[in-house]
Amino acid sequence: MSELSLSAARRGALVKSIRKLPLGLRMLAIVAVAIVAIVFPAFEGSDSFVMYTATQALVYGLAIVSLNLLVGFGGQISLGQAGFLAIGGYAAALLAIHVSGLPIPIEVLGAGAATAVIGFLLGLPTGRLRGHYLAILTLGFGVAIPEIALNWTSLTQGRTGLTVPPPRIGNTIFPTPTELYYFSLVVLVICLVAIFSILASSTGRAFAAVRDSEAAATAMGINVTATKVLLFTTSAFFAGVAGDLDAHLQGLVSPDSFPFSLSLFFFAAVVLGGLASVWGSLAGAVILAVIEAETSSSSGWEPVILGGAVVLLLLFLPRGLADFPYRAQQALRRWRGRKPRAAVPPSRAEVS
Amino acid sequence: MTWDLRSVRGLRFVFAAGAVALAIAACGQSASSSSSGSGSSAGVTSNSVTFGQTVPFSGPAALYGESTAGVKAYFAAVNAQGGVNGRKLNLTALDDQYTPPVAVQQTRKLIPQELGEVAVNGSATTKAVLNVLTPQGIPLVGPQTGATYLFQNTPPILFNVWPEYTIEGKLLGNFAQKRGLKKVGVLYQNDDFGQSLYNGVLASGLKPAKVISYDPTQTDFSPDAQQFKSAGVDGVIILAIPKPTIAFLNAMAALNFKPVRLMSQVSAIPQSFSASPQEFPSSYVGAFIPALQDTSNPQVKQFETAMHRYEPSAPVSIFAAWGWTEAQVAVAGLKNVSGKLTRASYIKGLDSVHNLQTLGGTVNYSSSSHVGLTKMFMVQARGGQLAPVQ
Amino acid sequence: MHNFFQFVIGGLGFGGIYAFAALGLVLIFKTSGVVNFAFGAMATVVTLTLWSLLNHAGLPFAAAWVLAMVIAMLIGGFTNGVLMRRIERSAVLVQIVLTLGLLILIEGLAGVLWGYGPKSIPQPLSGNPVNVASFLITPNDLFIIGLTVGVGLLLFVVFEWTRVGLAMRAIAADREVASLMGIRTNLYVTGSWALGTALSGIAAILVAPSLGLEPTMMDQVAVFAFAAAIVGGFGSLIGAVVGGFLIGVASNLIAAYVSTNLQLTLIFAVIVAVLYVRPDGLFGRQAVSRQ
Repeated sequence: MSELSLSAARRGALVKSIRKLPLGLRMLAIVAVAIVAIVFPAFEGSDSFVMYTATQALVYGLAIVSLNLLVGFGGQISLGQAGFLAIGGYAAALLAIHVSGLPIPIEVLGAGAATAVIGFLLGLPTGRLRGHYLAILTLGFGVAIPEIALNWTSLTQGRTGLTVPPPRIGNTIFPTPTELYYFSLVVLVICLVAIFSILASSTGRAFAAVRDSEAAATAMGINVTATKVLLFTTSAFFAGVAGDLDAHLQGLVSPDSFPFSLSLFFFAAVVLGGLASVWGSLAGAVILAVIEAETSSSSGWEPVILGGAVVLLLLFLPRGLADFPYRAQQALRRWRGRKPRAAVPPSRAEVS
Repeated sequence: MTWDLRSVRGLRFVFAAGAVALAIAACGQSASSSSSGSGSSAGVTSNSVTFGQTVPFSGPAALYGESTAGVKAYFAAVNAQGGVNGRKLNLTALDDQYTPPVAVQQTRKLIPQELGEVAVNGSATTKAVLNVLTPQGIPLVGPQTGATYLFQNTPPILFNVWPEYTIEGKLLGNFAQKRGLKKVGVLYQNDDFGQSLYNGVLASGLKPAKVISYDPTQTDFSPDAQQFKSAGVDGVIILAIPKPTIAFLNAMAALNFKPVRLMSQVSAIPQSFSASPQEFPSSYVGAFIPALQDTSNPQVKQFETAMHRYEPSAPVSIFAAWGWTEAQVAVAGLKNVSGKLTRASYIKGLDSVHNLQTLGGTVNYSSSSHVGLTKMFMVQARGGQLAPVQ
Repeated sequence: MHNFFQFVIGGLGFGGIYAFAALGLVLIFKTSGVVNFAFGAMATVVTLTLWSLLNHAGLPFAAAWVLAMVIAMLIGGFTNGVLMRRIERSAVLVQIVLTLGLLILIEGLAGVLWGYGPKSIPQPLSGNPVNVASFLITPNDLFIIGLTVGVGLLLFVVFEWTRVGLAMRAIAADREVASLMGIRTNLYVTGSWALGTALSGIAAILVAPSLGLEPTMMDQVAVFAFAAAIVGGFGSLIGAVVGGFLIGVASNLIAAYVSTNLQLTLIFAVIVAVLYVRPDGLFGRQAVSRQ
């Protein structure tokens, strides 16, 4: 199954570069998004369900970005990301329940760190083994974690799950939906800053080099094994943080909170958003959270709409949502009668 | 996104803009205050009342979704008489897939549009749902479970209808001993539902020869059947939901193994008794719903008539009977409310439900006791139906 | 000791089912390089169609089965011919995720059309367990085992010793070169999707009597089938059959001696161990990775 490795050199490159809009337009878009994200609770804050959906979008966003780090930027297959979220979620619940008065920043870091340790352990064998091995390992991980959570009842209360107390700092607790939203937003933004910084650093370039060609990376002096292990650890850390946020959002962690299907869902979302595009992942997360919220399950149409959306999106935007601005721009140009502009070629500094 | 120095500078700009926006939002937030909670009348208009329900329509317990039809039939019958105090009754039922996190999400959807909840299904799911409802003072009438935790420190918003599972477990355990079964095996679900029932069985003094717990998602029961057979049990107590029950019975049949079977009423559906390929001769079930073919019972007659008239395409099953009974209690509480209808006044109305005759028996509440039905009896499966024990 | 072998025999019935599902997966993967995550849902739809044919059209079992196979082939053929073809040139990951989307979509459609309540369909062979050398096995299980081995061998023969099989192997090795050599790749790939879906359909029809037929029925089976395909070496048909039986027996043994609740975890631990020793699975061929 070496076909599942992600070297871009192979026929039908797996990571076709996402064509970008000019920097100025991008900055504008980001600022607009940031403003909307911060201000909108003032208008919708009284509708608790809207706030929960928005917070869910943030949590999904972080989870999907963490997976994109592994798959899109790092070129590794992982079919078990929900397992990492589960560890983060349970760690958060256990910390919050057993350590009274634990300030939330410590709890978040603790959940992330616990998950990072597992990510480290999972990443250790990847050094010597091939792509498909990783797929199976992560698949097994994603399937095993809910089962272990189910059976380790002394720790996890089995199927009933653990009730998660609201986040707190000192004597201030924030249980309301709007407060949960802002809490998640702050954590997400901090994580994004961290992720962007990592990607801009030499470590980030090492990730991409290993993804594109392990042989070439070794020739350049990069320690491929160490890079892969670091990649797993980092991705697991952020997934653990996402799990922590999810635990507070749901108020409950149980084996059913992180089923294997969630891993597949995240994997699909990474591709849908666009491999190696953080903003694509975030956009995908918002869309998925909205679809999930809007369709009431009793009618049974939710999976049809969700599945149909995935299929249609992939048929028309195979490079993901992140490709949409470029495609829209091209369509606009053609409509205006001008020749489509050639794609902005990736410069030396761009590592996508 | 290019992640070089340009982007890091760009992010700083974003933060500055963000800080400004945050300030604006904070001002806006404190200016407007949102009101929600027990004071306002969610789910109530001048001519309607809406109840919410989370119940499995899909997943391993999908059959329990039949209870929705029972609730709806009763509501329709009451609406045909003009409703309650001039208000028509509505039900919004959402699929919880028998999993607690989904139930929580669906409950959040329901809260803005309901007065309270009725006929919420499942033990683990109800526990999770209660975590959401209790702090917000939203009443829950008739959870479809008798798990022990419901009867310990019962929150004021919770009104039990089902008998406690330990009652049913004791009934099954006593029956096994009275029938002179020498070696009894127990199969129980690994959550509050199974555990509560099993505790009841043990409380009857029965000492099981072999005990196995299972997870509701389990699909293959041949190893478990094999283990019971190897242990040589002559009777087996099955504390399980329908799908696993049927799979387990099929597995025993495939091994030519036919012990006496005692089952909880939660899996008392016809398929449970006539598992292919052979008919099992001796099956007994604990029950609080009377035999549904006994139309001389006026409650049963009323139930069947309403189901045929208002929900003709729905099965007239024990699960529908559950929904009907729970709806009876919910409406009785509603009828006791005089004055403004809010969540708080509805809870008071429920507190004063006295001597209510329902399909499942008599229900009495007070402000200190929210225990509903307490009587259960054994029935026998004969010819695909449940009938009194001979 | 007797119990041990009884458990082994008990696992063969499900083993055959996993083998069929794995065969369907492997066949499609061999020729198109795509892991069809939606195979379970497609198979369930095939079985639901069978149920409708039995209960609404009143057809006898054998005729309904044949018709269901035809429908399976149509579904598989359509999926490749219409959907996968459109994104043939896209990254393999995109194609795989498309099948993930199809999984959700098809399960949802099945739920809308047939509802989620479990339905019953009969076993192909009914009857009490028979005594074979002091072990009990049902006629149905014997039928499943026989069918699996028979179909597996048939496919193997076709693949290794016929021109059709040669063409498929050429496509599997290198699609572009095969089409340059004059092989009508699209036809063969569509054909293998059709056949693969039919094989998965058989798996679902065989498992439905035990599990209860409903849209999400194959979810659990799919994970085991995937595991079976991997253990067998993802590109090998014989491996799929052997892998299926191994997984069926192993999971039964784990359920009997350890716990039913840890089946998946331990199965995957076993698989990881197997792959550590034989990275290409038991029957897989060495795939060269051009890095």
